[in-house]
Amino acid sequence: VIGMSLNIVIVEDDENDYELFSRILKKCDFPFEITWLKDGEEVINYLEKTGGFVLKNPCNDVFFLDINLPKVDGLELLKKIKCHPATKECFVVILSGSRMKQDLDIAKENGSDFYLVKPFGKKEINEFSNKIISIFRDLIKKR
Amino acid sequence: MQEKLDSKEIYRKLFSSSSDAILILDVESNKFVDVNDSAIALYGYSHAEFLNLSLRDISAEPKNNEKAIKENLNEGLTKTPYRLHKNKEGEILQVELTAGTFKSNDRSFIYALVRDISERKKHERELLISKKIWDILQSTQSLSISHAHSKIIFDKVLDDLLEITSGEYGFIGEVLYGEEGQPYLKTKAITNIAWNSKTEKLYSSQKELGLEFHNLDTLFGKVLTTGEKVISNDPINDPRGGGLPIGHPEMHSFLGIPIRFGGELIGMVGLANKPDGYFESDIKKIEPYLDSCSTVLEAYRGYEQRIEAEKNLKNAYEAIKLSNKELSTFASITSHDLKNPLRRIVNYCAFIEGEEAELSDITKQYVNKIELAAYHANNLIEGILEYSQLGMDKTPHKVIDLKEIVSITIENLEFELLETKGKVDFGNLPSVFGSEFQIRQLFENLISNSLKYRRMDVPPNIKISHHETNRDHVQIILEDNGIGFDNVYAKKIFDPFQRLDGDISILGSGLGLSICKKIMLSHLGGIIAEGEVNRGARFVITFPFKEEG
Repeated sequence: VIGMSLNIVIVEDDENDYELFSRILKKCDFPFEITWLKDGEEVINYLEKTGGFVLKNPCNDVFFLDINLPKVDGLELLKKIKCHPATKECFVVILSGSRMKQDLDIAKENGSDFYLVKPFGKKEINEFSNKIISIFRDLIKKR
Repeated sequence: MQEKLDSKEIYRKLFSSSSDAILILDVESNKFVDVNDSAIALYGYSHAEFLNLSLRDISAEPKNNEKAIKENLNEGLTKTPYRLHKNKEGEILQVELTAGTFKSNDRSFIYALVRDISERKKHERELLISKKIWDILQSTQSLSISHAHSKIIFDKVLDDLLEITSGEYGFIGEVLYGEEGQPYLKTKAITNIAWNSKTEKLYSSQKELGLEFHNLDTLFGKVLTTGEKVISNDPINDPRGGGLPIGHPEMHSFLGIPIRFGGELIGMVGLANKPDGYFESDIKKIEPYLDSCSTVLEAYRGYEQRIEAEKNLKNAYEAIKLSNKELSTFASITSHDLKNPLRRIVNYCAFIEGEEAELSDITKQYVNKIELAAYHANNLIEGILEYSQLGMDKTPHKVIDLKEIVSITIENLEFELLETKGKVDFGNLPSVFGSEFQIRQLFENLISNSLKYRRMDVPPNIKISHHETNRDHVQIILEDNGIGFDNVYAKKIFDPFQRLDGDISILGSGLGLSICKKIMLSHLGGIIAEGEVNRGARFVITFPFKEEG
């Protein structure tokens, strides 16, 4: 995995949550770059500007998508990313405040690779970190 | 000769003993020459009186009678199935008539056999009315008297009443009472007597719903206020009426008859303009209809009241449904929105705790207290969310295997059970009928509750068993060996946000058992608790029995 660097795009309108995720990610000890986008429109611009969203290797792009976003919501973005030929290989992790099964099912139906509930307190933060590490391991294994 | 004499006697005997009235009339003098005892009994005249009477005197429809005689005189025996006669008192007799002529000593006689069929006719008419009403009801394919049905029935009855009394116009109406208790009339059927565009408009716009008449200073008003019949053959000058509105069609006779149900005045019939005026005999003719009118009016009143009650109930139900939905939505939105700031609090607490090296002990303690308070608040919100979502659960009820539910619950609570070293024993549990989502919640809440209120020195042991008390319901019993409670609070523990100990280390939503109660009530069952301090608690859950399949 030498030279393997992930390009992580966090789509999150809440600054506190962005801080939380970036903090958790930084502790995970993988080489990566973070791009922070605050709403759906920024994501669409980003995708268009990068002409297929690819900075280095499309397979190294990982999206963390919040569901409740201003302008274009996370589920819409998920569909766009998963339907576009240039980005359909990208990993998409849905971040949601909801623990309800139906929300998880909808995300799965629309092609999300993972569905993570935003952690609540230290116990869940630890579990969340562990999940992210295992997701990254899987990802690197597959590449 | 001997033979002739015999037959004469036989005829005399037949004549005098016949149960039919027999009248013999001299055509030339137009007077009766002989009548039998039955005739005397029927008409009320003595034999001597009869000899001064002509056919005209006993007929209630003399024109018809005379016409019939003229037409039939030479045709031998004629039978007239229905004719109206009158007795000495002027009362109407409905009769069947067989008449013929014979000559004796060059004089022509008419003989008539008269049979009183008033009773028969009354029964016939009643039967006919019943049948008519029955037919109408049948044709509407329903036995309830709706507005449309009653309209058809009353229109038909009014037609009949006008026909049999030779009236020109009339109405059948219901008696209603205004706010101050004054009676008024609402028509069920009324002849259109509109005399100008304004009244025409009133008639056509209101005839379906019924026209209302509030002026009691009228002949029909007298019926409403006194509850008695009113016959008036000079309505214009009748002191009981207040005259007619300008333009109202001429009225030269009026008959108003109350309709009663069990003594109570519930409606009336009003008829007008019988050519030669109304008499008691008209009331007799109408009588058979009144019972039917009364029955239909009463049935319709019941229908109207039911419709009204149903409407009110439906409105109230819709209002409650809406308000419940609003409450649920409100609770779920509030809870979601409240959770985010709490999540931030606990997460930043976690970050602070992550900087352990830089923290004093007292800071660590304070951060821990902030965290606990936030967790507690979160539990409360979760509880409210859960409680409010119960009302929105629309999953269809089905047969649920409680063994399976309890097994799943135990799996879900694996961590808590490990942490507390708790165990759950359950035997052969039955199936019940209900919402899977809610029943799972029920057992999850009850088992969590037992684990939460465990004794610190004894590992929690929860036993779930059942006994089928009878064919009506199934009881599930959940017993634990926890801290229990004083039985005084057996009811109170199901109230929202009730906790029996103030121990902050036990963090609950305060709604767990309330939710259980709500679930059982929505399953038409129940839940009760029994407790003994430091011994344990016992919950008895009752499901209504529902056979599988």
